[in-house]
Amino acid sequence: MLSSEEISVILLTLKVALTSTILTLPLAIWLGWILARKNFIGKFLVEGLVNIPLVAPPVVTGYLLLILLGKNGIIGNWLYETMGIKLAFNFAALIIASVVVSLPLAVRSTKSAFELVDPNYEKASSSLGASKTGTFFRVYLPLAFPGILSGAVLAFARSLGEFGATISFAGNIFGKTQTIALNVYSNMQIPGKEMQVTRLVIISLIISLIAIIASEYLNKKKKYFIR
Amino acid sequence: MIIKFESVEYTLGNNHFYYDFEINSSLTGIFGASGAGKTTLFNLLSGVDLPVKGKIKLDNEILVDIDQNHVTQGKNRNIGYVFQENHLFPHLSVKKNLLYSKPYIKNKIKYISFEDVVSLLDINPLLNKKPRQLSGGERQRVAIGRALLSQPRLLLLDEPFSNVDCSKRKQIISYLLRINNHFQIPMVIISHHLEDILKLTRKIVIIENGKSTASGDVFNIIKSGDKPELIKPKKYQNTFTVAFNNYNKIENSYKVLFNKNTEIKISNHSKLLNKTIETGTKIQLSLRPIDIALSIDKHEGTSIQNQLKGTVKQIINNIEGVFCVVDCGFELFVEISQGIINNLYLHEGQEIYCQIKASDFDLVHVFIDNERKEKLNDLNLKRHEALEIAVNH
Repeated sequence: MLSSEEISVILLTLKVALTSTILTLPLAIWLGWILARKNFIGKFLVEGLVNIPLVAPPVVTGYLLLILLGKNGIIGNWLYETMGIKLAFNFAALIIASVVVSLPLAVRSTKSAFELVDPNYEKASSSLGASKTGTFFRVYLPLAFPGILSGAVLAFARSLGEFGATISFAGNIFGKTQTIALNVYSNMQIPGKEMQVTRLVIISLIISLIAIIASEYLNKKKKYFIR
Repeated sequence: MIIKFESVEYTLGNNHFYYDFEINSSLTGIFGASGAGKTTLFNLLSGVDLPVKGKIKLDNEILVDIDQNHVTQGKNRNIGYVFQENHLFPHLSVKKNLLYSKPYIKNKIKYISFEDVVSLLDINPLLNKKPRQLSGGERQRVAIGRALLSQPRLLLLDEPFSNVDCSKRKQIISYLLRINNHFQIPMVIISHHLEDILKLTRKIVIIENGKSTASGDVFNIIKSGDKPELIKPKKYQNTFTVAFNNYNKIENSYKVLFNKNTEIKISNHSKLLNKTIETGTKIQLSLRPIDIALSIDKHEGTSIQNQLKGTVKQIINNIEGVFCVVDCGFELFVEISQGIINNLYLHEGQEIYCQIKASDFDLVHVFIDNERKEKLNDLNLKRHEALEIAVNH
């Protein structure tokens, strides 16, 4: 059976993954849409910035977040001084780190989903009297929906396993910022905690596996859906 | 409806397009080879694309006048567009596709009802299906229905026969005539098959290499000396709207009236006719020029059931063959050969008999709309109200 400590860690992890997915999704839809369908100056730069956390070591991402949003960071200092908002080493930091590292995966998925939608549907929709916004909500969004959902699942899975950026930016505070990955890491170094580590590893693997299977299923459905 | 393009220019990459024509018809065909610029013409008319120069008019309304910096946005032009590839929304059922424009027609007078469209285009069995479950012909019908339900004042159809086989083409032609007749909605149809267009209308615009090279009645274009090379007289179809007269049980043939004096017999290959059809029902027929034979005298004891007396009006002798125009109270375009001219001493003004087998007439459409006749007056009233409102706006 799981101990109360393990349950608390699992619940916090799920809470972080869920919250960050919900926050990532609208951003990913918007970025995926403009990257797939719009041409603008600096498009490559936006695409590069979004994708940096995918290739940069997560610890580097966490460090950059600390520099930007930490109490003494460029933006973080201003937020703290003017509004008393602290963004590092707390639940907000967990969410921010999670959103930043999972955003590229979600954007890649939504972007490819929007790219797969035949732009001629826009012509058809417009000829029937729909505005661009109407076409987006009635044609593009439903047709890209499986891809968007698949992006959400990937973002959720990425949040579950997030370690490097989190430990750098949110810390490893039990009951506050310690997720499954951080708990496993901490307990690995304590003799006699092998069983707890094993249990959390298995649970972590099961959740990840379910997420990946769901993502693959939705990806297949996406191609079928837009035929 | 009068469609007028005045020195309209458009550029796409290295391709330059130029349209200058005026045509007045409830059914207009746009004819040209693939890639000639037919779809571009539609895109300019519907507002998908904007010209760089010129003026586009629909009846008295100016849609685009580049010199005056006037452009009516596509969605405000009230023009229905049926795309070549249909573009039915794959995530929506047929019913939802048909009703797609519903939120956008709140301020329009609805002169085309969902029930009428479903009934006229025989869509009822398809309503709950998804577009991927439909055949090419069914998709085409749904796309036409969807465009109609946006309550347009003009319907554009881009290659409506391209994704359907030969038998379905005839079906689509019949549906188009039915819609045109029932809703009294002007239609413009693109096709690169002259035969298909001619079964619908003789009023055409010819597009060659990005330019409109001729417009008007194709028969007059053929008869004129300077017809575009694209127009092949061999492809011409004599098309007539006749009135059903009676069914002859013994001969199993149908008699139709061309006019008060001319009655001809036709046989029913397409099963469009039935014995209960009302006298006076309008029927659209087509006849290939090659299916008409000429003789100096009326023949007795022949299997040919129609011998129409007429006068040779014009003989056209060009590189594509020898043709003549015979006036039988209506004009017939006949394909002959130089040998026949010599043998029959054929000359303009000569009296002649056109010999036509009953089976050579192609039955294009039967306008069975009797049950909807009462509705039609009401419909026309609504349509006129809608047009008045559009003009006043």
